[in-house]
Amino acid sequence: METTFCHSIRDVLSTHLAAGVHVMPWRELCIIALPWKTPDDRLVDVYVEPDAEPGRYRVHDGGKSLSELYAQGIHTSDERADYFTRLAARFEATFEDDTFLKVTRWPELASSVLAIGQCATLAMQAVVRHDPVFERVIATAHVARGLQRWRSEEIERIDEDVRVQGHQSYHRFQFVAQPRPALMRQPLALKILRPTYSPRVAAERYGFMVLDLDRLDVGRWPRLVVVTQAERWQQAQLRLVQRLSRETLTVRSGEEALLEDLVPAAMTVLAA
Amino acid sequence: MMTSYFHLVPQLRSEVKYFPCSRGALVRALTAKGKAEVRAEHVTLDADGTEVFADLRLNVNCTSRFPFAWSASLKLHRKRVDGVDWESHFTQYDGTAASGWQRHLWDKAREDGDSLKTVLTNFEDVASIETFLLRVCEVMRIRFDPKDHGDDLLPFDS
Repeated sequence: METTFCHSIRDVLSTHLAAGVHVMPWRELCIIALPWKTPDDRLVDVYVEPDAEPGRYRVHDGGKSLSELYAQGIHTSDERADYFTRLAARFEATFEDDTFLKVTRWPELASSVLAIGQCATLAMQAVVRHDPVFERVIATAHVARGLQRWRSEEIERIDEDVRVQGHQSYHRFQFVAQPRPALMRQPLALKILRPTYSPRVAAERYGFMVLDLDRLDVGRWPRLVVVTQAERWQQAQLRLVQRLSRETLTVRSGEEALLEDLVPAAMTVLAA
Repeated sequence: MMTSYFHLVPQLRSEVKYFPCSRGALVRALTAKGKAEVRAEHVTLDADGTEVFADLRLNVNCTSRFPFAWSASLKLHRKRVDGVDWESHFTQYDGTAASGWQRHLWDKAREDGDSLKTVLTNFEDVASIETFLLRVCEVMRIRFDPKDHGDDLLPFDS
């Protein structure tokens, strides 16, 4: 390859990069837009502000990368936070308070801006693997309809999203059917378990709730548990939930409409 | 066959969405923790008049001390279908260059809420979480429970 040709590529690239760098002042801050895009189609913004120590500068992403990840439903797990810390360390930066930061002096300012820009870009790689999760029908809506079909004269009201106090923590039931006071009966609680974070986590959280409510009035309420996305649960996880509940219903994805028939039958058993 | 329901996104964006928590509770949660996610089951009608339940999530992040690093998004199937955030330089949906607060538009062809953006002009004075939330709700047509029970906990999926 001819040297002149290589140099012309270098010239074209330099011009392109120089034209793509934008700066915007904001109070004590310089906001620098770098000429490359993140996987979620944003130009990378890097912020530069004077440090408390004269002659030093704080170069950071303002927490923007994590904010954008959160906006797209990507939360910072411990594992991901560890990755961000390691990523920052590779560029001699730090990751604190959801922010990539490098404190630097003037001679290293340009390389620090690029380093934070790289951190901000690489942090967004999770976007590439983030697929939509299709929740075709909502179990809660079908459960609500089932409860209305079941509701008899004996039920004074059905409360939604009821928060109860345990020994250590608060817990929630999606529905609580309150019998008329004259009947002197316990309320009937209904909890929907979704394997949002994993069936194991859902089962264990439910187990914790039962233990935490033990020996309290609310712990004696007869409970119906509706397990959604049954195809994702293992037998051991289901058994744990079943052992700790008076009644359990399991529905597979796409079959949530069945709850409109299953819930009235289960509630009748629960109330007996 | 899996139905995506993304075809309802333009309709969802234009409809008023009700979230079962108060704005005050959300502001308190954001002030304390910097970020919060709230869920809502929104009922809308399909083209043939069938009721469709959409599981919506509102994600708000105000962790940064700089308002321009804040973001809000409305998600369907855990994917952003509407949102507000800030960029120092971006290209709008019509190819023009812009700067500042932006609203994310829905790209029907790509089923994507990331790339198409339009500038927002009524966000320039946003300096507090409460103002940010007010403006976001106005733009994205989000309503909260008017009753504030003074509870700083949000109805997370538990």
